[in-house]
Amino acid sequence: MRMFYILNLPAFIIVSLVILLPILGTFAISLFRVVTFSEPSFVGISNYLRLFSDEAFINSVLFTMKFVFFSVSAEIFLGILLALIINEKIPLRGLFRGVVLLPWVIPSVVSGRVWEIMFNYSYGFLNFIAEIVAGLRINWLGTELGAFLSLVIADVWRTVPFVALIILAGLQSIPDEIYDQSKIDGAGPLSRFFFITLPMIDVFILTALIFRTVDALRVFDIVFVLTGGGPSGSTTPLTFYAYKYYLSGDFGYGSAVSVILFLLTLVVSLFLFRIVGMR
Amino acid sequence: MKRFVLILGLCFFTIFTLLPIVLMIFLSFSEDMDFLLGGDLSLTFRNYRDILFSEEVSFGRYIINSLIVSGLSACLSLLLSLPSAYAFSRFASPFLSRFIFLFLLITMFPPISTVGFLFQVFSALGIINTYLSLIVTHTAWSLPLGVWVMYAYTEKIPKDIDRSALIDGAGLFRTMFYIILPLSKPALASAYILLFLYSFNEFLFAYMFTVDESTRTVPVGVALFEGLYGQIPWGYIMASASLSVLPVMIGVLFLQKYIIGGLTKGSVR
Repeated sequence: MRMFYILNLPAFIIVSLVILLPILGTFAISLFRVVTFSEPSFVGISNYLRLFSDEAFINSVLFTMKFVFFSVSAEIFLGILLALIINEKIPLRGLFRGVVLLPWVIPSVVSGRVWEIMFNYSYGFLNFIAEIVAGLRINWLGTELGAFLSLVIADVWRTVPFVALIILAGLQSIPDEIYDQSKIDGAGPLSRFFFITLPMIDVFILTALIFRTVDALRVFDIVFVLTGGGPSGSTTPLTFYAYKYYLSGDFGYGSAVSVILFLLTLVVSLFLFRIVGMR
Repeated sequence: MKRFVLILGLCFFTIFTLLPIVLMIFLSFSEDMDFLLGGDLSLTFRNYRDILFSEEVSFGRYIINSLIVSGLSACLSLLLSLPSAYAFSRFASPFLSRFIFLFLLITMFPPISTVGFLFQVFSALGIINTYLSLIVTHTAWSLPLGVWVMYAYTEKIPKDIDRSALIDGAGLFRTMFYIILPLSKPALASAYILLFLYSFNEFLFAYMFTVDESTRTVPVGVALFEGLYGQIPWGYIMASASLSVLPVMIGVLFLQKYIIGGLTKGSVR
């Protein structure tokens, strides 16, 4: 028993000092007015009051939620499809598994750069195709809808392999006998999927959903590279909004935004954990 | 019918996955972007030579910085996570063993919520723009992942082995380092790769806590390329992006089993 605490001490200390304490510290800073070249002054919750009348902040919250909803839905859907494929006995399965894993392990900044060239107006590969097929060019990164879709597509590309891996683990936990039995009973592939496979991997899907949701809530890298929050601030997630205030030296307000994001993440993850716990 | 759908899906995912990567590698070897506008394609190594050896682009430096930060933080993180993983697999009561989920919960926090405070503290300590600031943050954030992966493995090692060692008077730390550690080599490999990749790919801290090329890491270099020139140097960007992906790609293709093993054992019960 005492051993448990002694052995956990090193990890506990560093996690407390570098993660937990700074979160409390950020909360403390959010109660101050901190501007470069002047003494911080205690202002209570006025930074938080300012949030509610800040239209750009509200838009940022809405964008974050929209982004999480659309990207995570697409990721779960495609992730299930990919997992079903790599679970089949296909030729060169090992190689194919390695290949589809690639987007997930390359740095997210790099994937942002790569999609930047895919979406580029004049050089972009997608417009290269669009011009041949339909004779038009799409302004991907310059319009609000285009920029939103670009971010979703880039994020989906990067994270589908991760979702597929988790769901693959679920698929492999289903004993073959169940399928053999249902085939004898005359169940088609679709009904086998919906009535046997899906109910047996629901916990795995939920697990993937938790990981993806909390990760999409803190999206930063691809936004930084791909859209820079634009056009006209329409693709600014909360992380990026806080970062912009840090950059301008307004640490108090930026911290308040970070605290809101933290609370949002905490509520969402505890809620999703509860659902998993009920299974 | 089933074969047809399967092949269709295979084609879709292969193209979707590989198209951007192939384009990236292609552009990194091309003289300019003309061929995408219908012009000729001319291949060259110039982009690579420039970013690695020319005076004005210090990408070689970024690679060295990244290897130092990722190598050390993955080591430290592994070293610190081992006792925790061992504790959870051997000394935790059913109640305490639940706390491993707290570790998991912590990695889900948004890092930006720590940046405001850490930046102030690091400035006060004068360690902004040093390896130390990055190694410390990367170690802490990757630690839970390390604990998780190592716990899944050490739990499978028969408890009689170390119990008999303890009874023979080997002492706790000797048991851990001379018995458990050698037995968990495969897990150490996959954990190290995952921790290394985390640090190698991490951008937010690496960007916030560095000021110039003396400490900037690869992702920061790749992200900040356009600030250096008027026109966007796509060739340089794609060459640096390809370079930063190369070790990872080789690693994954060879160690795919380890990574998948480490993850499926770790993240899913």
